[in-house]
Amino acid sequence: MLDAYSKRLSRFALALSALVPLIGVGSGLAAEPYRPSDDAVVLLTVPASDHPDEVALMRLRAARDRAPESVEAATAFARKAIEIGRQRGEPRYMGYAEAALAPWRGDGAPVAVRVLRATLAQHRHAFDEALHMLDAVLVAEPANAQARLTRAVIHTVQGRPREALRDCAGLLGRVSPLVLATCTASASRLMPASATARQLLATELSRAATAPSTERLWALTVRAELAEQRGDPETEAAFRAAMTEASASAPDPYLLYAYADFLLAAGRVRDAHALLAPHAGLDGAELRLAIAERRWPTADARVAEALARRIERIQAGVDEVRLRGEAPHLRELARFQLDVMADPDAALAVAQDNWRTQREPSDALLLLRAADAAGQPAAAQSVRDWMATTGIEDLRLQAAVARLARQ
Amino acid sequence: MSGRLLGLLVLALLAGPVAAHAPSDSYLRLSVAGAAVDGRWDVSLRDLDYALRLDADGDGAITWGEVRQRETDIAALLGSRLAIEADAQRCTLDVAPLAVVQLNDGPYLSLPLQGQCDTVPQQLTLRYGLFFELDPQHRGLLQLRLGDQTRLGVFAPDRRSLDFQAGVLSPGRAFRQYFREGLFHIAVGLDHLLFLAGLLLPAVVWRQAGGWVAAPRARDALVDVLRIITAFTVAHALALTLASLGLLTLPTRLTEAAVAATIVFAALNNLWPMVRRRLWAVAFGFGLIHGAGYASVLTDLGVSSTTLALALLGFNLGVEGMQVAAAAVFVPLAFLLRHRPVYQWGVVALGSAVVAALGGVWFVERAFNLRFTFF
Repeated sequence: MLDAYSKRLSRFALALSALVPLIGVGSGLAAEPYRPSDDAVVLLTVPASDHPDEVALMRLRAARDRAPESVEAATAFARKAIEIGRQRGEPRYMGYAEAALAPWRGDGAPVAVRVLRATLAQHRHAFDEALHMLDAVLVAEPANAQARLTRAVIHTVQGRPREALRDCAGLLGRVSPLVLATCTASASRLMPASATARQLLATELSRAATAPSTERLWALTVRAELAEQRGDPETEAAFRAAMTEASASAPDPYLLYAYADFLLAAGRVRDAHALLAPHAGLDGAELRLAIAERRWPTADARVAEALARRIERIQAGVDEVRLRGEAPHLRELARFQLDVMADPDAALAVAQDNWRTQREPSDALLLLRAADAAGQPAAAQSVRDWMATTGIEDLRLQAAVARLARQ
Repeated sequence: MSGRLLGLLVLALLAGPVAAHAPSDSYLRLSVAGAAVDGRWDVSLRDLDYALRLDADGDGAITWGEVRQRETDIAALLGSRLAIEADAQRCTLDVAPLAVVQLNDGPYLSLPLQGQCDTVPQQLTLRYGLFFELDPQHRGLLQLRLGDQTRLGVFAPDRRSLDFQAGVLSPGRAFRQYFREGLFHIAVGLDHLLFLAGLLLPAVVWRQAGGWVAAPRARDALVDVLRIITAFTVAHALALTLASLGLLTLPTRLTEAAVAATIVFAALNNLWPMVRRRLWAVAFGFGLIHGAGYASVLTDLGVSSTTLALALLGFNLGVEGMQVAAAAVFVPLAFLLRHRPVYQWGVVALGSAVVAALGGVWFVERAFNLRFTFF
């Protein structure tokens, strides 16, 4: 009888969990609408219309609206929207870019449109779709530098250093030496440590003081990541140097997260928290703030309360994405489950899913740690196989493999 | 080459989620009961700003005043991007004044919706086209309550309309559901209970020639009661069926007043007997009136014609069942107490007087459209 009861209970729990997304929406809707009594109440803060990015975007949007059939106008607007969207961590801008490109569909679309569409697909983590589009573009136009560079980056993200290097090599003479060196150094992160690649990057960085800021920022970020993989004592200085390349109020999100992860891995919880706190509006920052609060070295009621609110927000975000019928970002979800919710079994399943499409060192590390925490060393076998195939040298990965081997 | 001229998209290539804010979603919550639509639509202020440029003075702060000035534009935009159809007939959709609501990912404008369809929909079609031309990643997240079921749906650029079939009740389920409705209908209907009390109070002891006469045998008393109750139910069922099929329509105010009058009559009949032997015939007549008065019960529930017969049967059996249950509790108890003056005067006489008084108040209220406030 007890058995029947517990079975019923578990069925009830199952039914309840199926309702979770619904409850998520419900709780969102639970807030009561009101009509403010004061006209001066500020409802939302947006970038002021004289902000340089805003001025540029509005000018391009107007140009595009005047000439909706112009490929030039549409791609110029889309490029700006993609850049701003990434900088602000605002996915809506990716949608605005997509809308501008909408008039040209299929393989007959102009090359510039197809390349930008591939970038948008990459942002949605639709890597196969992006590669497919870029392959087609490069067959038609092998000299297209943007397409080749984008493909090199996707190969790197998916853990294929050889293919990435081949595309980087194809950029010779078509991009600046700094971009070429960064592309190569980035791919080399997945291979046996290469002093040549590091040296080339350092040289080009010192020569290219006047290069576009975005190119320098990418180069400085890769330099810091390479240092971290080698356990170089200069790693933090490298991250700091990269941080100074962008404005302090609007740091590059990718760099910000990489630096914070470095601090978290070093056990510098308070430093990581202080770095991220001003940028809590970014999802990636919110996740890492939650990790820092979970690992807070002293008992602190305020920190615990902040953590509880963060967990609620992050879960509501995941539920919302599911309600849309989409998959959440697996890398972030796995980290949330592993480092915030302390649920290694769930984290392992998600980390394994993530490993199917994303294979950067941080993805490998995540799967190794999840397998370790869940007590299932065999679950990370594909990471070890990949490490053997690529010959990647990364102290963090090697240490994680050693920990796993001791289980 | 071209990369050189324009400046390469470099950082944009770095992987990592762009999701700092939630993606663009609107939340549409609708409830369709019968032919009436009721709901709420929450639309992100960020999205509306991109579509309509709400920040009039460009200072980066969108104030309630700026929103209010554009209220007509906002309502016009939203009103043109949502349509509800019941069996291919467009329903009306009225938009009440805008409000503000804070959701998980920021401020939303909240739009109360109210509409009316020509028919109770068998197929409900919702058409949604907000923001898709500006942001193909926008989604409309729908939570629809249709009849007794909740459905979820997502509107996307390639899915701008969603169809929902009103839950087709299986005959068995229709019967069970309306049987319950019937039980409930009696249990919570004060009119019914009072009328029943009026009929049941004198079942075991009644006034005759200035004194009290007690029923000699319990079985006879119970059979009498059942006869009265069943006559009432049969008439009730008949009138309800005719009314539900639209074959009998009486003005609500008239039937409700008549129901009150029957309550008064039944109670007074206990104090000053007018009808005794043929009380079941009176109950039948009253059942007709009560049934016509409750015709709206079933039409409001939005029953499809295919299951109407079973639903009606279930409903009426539920009514009968609850009445029999009430009698089965009351009659044996009353039978034991029937010789005591406290039952004769305290319960039957006083109870009838109270019932008559309440019925009288209802009658006046309903017949003359007045409202008394003392209960």
